[in-house]
Amino acid sequence: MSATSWGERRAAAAPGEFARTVRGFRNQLRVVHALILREMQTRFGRNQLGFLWLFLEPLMLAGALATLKWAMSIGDSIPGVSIFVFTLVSYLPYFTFRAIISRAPGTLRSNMTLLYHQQIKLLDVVLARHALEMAAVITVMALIVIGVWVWGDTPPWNIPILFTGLVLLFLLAHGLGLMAAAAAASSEIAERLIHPLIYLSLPLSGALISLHTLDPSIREVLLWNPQAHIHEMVREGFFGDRLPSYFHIGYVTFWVAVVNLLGLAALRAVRPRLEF
Amino acid sequence: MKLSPPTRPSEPLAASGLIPPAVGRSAAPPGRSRRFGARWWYALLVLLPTLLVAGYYSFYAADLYESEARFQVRNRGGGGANPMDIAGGRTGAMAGIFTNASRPATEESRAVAAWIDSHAAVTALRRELDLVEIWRRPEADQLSMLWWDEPQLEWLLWYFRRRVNISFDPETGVMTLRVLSFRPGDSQLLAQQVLRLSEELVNTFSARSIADTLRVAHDDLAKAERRVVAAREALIAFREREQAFDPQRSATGAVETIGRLEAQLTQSRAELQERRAFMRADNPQIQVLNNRIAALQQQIATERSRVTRGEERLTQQVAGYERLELERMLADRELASATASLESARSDALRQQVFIMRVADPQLPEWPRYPRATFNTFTVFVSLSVLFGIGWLLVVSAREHAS
Repeated sequence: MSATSWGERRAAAAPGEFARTVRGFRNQLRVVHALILREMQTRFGRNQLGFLWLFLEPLMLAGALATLKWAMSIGDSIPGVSIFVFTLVSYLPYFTFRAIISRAPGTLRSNMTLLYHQQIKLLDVVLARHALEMAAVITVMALIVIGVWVWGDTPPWNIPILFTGLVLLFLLAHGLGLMAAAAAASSEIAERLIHPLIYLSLPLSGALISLHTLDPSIREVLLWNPQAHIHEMVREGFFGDRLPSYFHIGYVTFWVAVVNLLGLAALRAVRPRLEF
Repeated sequence: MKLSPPTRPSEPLAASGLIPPAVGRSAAPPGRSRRFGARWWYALLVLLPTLLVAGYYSFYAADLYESEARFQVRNRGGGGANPMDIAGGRTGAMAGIFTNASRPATEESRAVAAWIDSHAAVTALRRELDLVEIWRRPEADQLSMLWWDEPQLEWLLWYFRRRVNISFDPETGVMTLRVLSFRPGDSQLLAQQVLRLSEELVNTFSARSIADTLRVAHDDLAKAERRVVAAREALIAFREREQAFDPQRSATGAVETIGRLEAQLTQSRAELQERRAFMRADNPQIQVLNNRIAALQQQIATERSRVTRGEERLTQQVAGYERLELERMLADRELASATASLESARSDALRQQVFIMRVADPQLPEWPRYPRATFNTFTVFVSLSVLFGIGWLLVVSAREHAS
């Protein structure tokens, strides 16, 4: 975990505390690792190839949508950018984002029994799930990149930007997922509201349309949403100069930080209701 | 969510203190020490940097004066084009993409903005002003001044971009230039120079586009003129050589003369026939008629021989003459059309002419707007607090695993 580096700086001040923190992080890592393995088994069964569904599911969904759009030629055609690839690249991050947040409310309930083990904390359960989703989306994105590179003969423009976009997306979804989980734990109405809210947020997310083709005034409104920045980043990493993009990493980072703080705090706040 | 399980296996553990209680709820000794630690770390990692930043801004940071200029890049035919700009900005970017050709002023504005943001602008400004001197005034502080005495172009450009900012509003077409420096006069001077150099740049734009447009038309005109002159000269040479002003007309004349003579001959012969009927052969009148007929025949023979001897030559003459005449006519027509297209190119070029219209001249700043001490300090404080919060929550949750 990244926090070890600044944990090290604290060594001089409090050797006992520091050792405890490092041991804690190590244990947490082990717990999360074990939870990921368990999560894969519960989700995909004991079948050897079951985990393939982790990658196939988003790929198929994104591919189906992309084929639909391509066949119907919906959307503005941008010279040099195939609608198929555009939809694939735009929808996949959105799919992961939605999957993380919409599964978050169920995470705590379905793993409640695990909390009997004193080593397993709420955060570990959520982290394990989100890490699994993230691994899946990065793998699928890598497959798409390689596929488009080999068959479409168009290499991605800037892989670091693409990767940073995906990581920021994951962190944003992680924070929102924490908040969603906490909200679901505290009230049933909140849990019911999460799904419609996710669907309503699709047009505002800027996922399926390039901001470049939008009217400047609408673009400005959409750019308040950090999600739109992230999708633009991913597309910038993929298409580069072929498709002008609008994003600001600082703004997204700010939102990611705020959302994560609120998410962690919210999870901590609902803990007394869930743990024993 | 119903979460109370029928049994609580971990309860004895919690009671024995093995499971750490949530932060902020416990008054137990380990909790208290952690709370103290949290405060301490918060002071070290958040409050101390915030204080440093605040101290820097309140005691050390040098004032920065901002001079602002607003201008538009317009074209002379702008009466039609600029409303188009605004409409394009409002009614949708798709339309904007494809009607770019009809709003040249927008393109030129972007070109000017790109130029001001480039090393070309820095190089051009350095020829007029001592940029390094301006950003290394004695009143500047060590952090915000230009750090190098003899900066390479790249570093100077890096600093220039932080101090000179150009923005373009596509909706109104107004460009805003903001210049920061440590003295009010410097800011104003720098902004004026940037504006003047931009004007020069725009002038070269228009001069080049006008020259490009007119060059083709001028070339066409020169070619047409040469052709007309050549055609005329060929005609004159032909006339001098052939000793005929208009061979076609002279041929027609000869044929006409022969016709007239033949008519006279026929008439004279008829008269002779008529007179023979009642006159003797030696009558002087018949003699006269005979003489006339002989003379006419002689004349016709001469005329005919003149035409027929030169028959072949005359037709050739006529054909050659006609060719030259046609060439002259075509050349005349081409000249006329080249002149007309030059006229229209000239008016086109006039419409292409771009110029900078100053909306607001750079002012002499009176109060230093920058650096924004309160805003920056507050930003540092909030971001560090958020980061600390995340880090602390992560550490706390990790420590729970160590117990």
